[in-house]
Amino acid sequence: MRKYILKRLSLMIITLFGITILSFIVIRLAPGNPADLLEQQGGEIVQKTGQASNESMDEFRRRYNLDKPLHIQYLTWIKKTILFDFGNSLIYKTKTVNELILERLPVTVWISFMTIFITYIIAVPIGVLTAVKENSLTDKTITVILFMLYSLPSFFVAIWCINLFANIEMLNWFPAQELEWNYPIGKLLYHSILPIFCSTLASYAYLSRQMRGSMLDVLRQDYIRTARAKGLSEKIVIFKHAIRNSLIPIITIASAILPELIGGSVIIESIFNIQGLGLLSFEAILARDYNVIMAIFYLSSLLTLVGILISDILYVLTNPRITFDERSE
Amino acid sequence: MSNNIKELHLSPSQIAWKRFKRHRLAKISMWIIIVLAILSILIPIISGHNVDQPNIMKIFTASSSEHLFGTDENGYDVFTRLFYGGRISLSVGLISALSAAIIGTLIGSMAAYFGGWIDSILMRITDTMLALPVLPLLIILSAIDYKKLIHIFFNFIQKISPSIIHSSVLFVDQKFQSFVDAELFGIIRIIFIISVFSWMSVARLVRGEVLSLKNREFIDASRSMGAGHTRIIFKHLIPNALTPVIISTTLSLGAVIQYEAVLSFFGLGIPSSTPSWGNMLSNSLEYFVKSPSFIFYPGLLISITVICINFIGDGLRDALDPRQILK
Repeated sequence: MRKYILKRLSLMIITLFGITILSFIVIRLAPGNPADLLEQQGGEIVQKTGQASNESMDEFRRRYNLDKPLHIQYLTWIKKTILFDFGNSLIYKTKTVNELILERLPVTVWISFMTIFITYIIAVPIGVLTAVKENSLTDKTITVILFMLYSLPSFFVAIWCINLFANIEMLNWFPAQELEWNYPIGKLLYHSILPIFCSTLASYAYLSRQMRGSMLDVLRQDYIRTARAKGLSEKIVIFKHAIRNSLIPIITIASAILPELIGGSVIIESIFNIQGLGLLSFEAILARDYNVIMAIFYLSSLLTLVGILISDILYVLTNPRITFDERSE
Repeated sequence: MSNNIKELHLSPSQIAWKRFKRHRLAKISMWIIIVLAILSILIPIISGHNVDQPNIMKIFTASSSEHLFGTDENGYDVFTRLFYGGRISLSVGLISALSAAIIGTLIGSMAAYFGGWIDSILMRITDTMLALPVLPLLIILSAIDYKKLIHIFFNFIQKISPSIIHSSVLFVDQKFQSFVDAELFGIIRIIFIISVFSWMSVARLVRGEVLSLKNREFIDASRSMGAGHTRIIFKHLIPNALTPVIISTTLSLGAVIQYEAVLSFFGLGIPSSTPSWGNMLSNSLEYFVKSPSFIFYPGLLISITVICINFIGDGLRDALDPRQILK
């Protein structure tokens, strides 16, 4: 097992280097570097931060190494990045990238965790139900409904929600904006109902189909037949024997879902105007805030890689028929 | 089991078709997609309205016999624009999904077949791209000013090339510049961006399949008869590994159509002079209160298409999975 994990970790480091190089190139491909954009905006931001004249633009370039060749920029960047030092944000100059990210992280984490939590609470019972009643009318109806939810573009749903449920002219039930993570818990929940509702819609289908598949696998096992044969009631067979075992692969999925949610938060956060990581990355891309974009790319890829690794390890640990040696082939 | 014997005299594709037809939702979905595609192809004949000529006197009219779905903020006929949009959205989806499948199949099969360092390099690239957050990356790539990029590229060529061909380099540069301005480029750009970032899952699938196939007897037989690498890969390995690719490509088609819509929502999709479902949807968001039905149609068409494609994918999975027995 140690050999397997070591091998995976070394592969992960190579991949991570690839990620930094690729994202570095892609970001620099987008023309208009931050200094140019600042100049175009008529020094609007320059004034805001108290910097005065055109000379400061040269200084700006020098300070953030924008005047150096690409490979030197990359090398200076990667040296700091290894120690998780991403430098200052180019737009919010007084803040370091780490401060900025820590500021925006809690609300994204809150929404992501709530989304996963609620998805599991709703999707797992649905998966069990559709597996127990395989190919019945219930199974088919639920499948069709879930597929429909999955097919709706999330921004489409989000905009309908805002205009229906957070509109003074229509139904003014929920607030559409102003979600901050340090609200008292009741207010926080109330404010996050719409965003969480919108970001869960698409994931029910995937998770409940997985649960259904895993449950069907378990129900075909011999020990389920044995349990039935010795006269246990169907309730005990399902709840005590089948569900527990079919939950294992589903739990391992969670670590793979999480990074995806952080990527997908761009849409929900920019529609609901939530000051989270997704919105930050969108703003940073538009302003070519290299340091912030690179930090977000780096961290979210790292999270994805770690998530995949954890779910692979959990998969082997929970499945005694597979050994680590086989997996590393 | 008795039905299993009935399948014996059928060819594999006939069995697959028979199984596909048993998935009723998939069958209905297939017909819906066919109808949508035919409507989109035939729209210039069906519709009496010109897609480029708005009627400024009639903006935001309700649906009537003349304008089936009413008119939009510029006086365009919504029905006509919807199916012109269908042409774009469906073909963008289809071409991107297909090119992603082709890239993925090539990379996956080469990685698995050659193994060793080729495998390591290709799979590291795949993992790298898989781990990057897709949506921010798509946003960056759509924000790239390709005109400037091409100009920089040709400037570079001009610098390193002998002075005799300078004028021809300049000529090609200008040709490219005017190509970027053309409407078609907006569409090609989207197809390129989406397909470059969606081949990875196919590559992994194909690699897995080919790894299990490449040591089988029929490959050894083919090699012993003197077949080269190309022949083995294209004639024997890829056709046998194609089933999961077909299924996952079908399913990804739906995702691609949604990507187009999301990019348009961020104002980075196909320019709004060419109607597509994505940019019609995001344009209509401004007029939500004034005319809510108006956001409904493109959203509905996107949803219907994606649902149908998912059902077809589900049906294909049932039909092509050889482990299943026709009950």
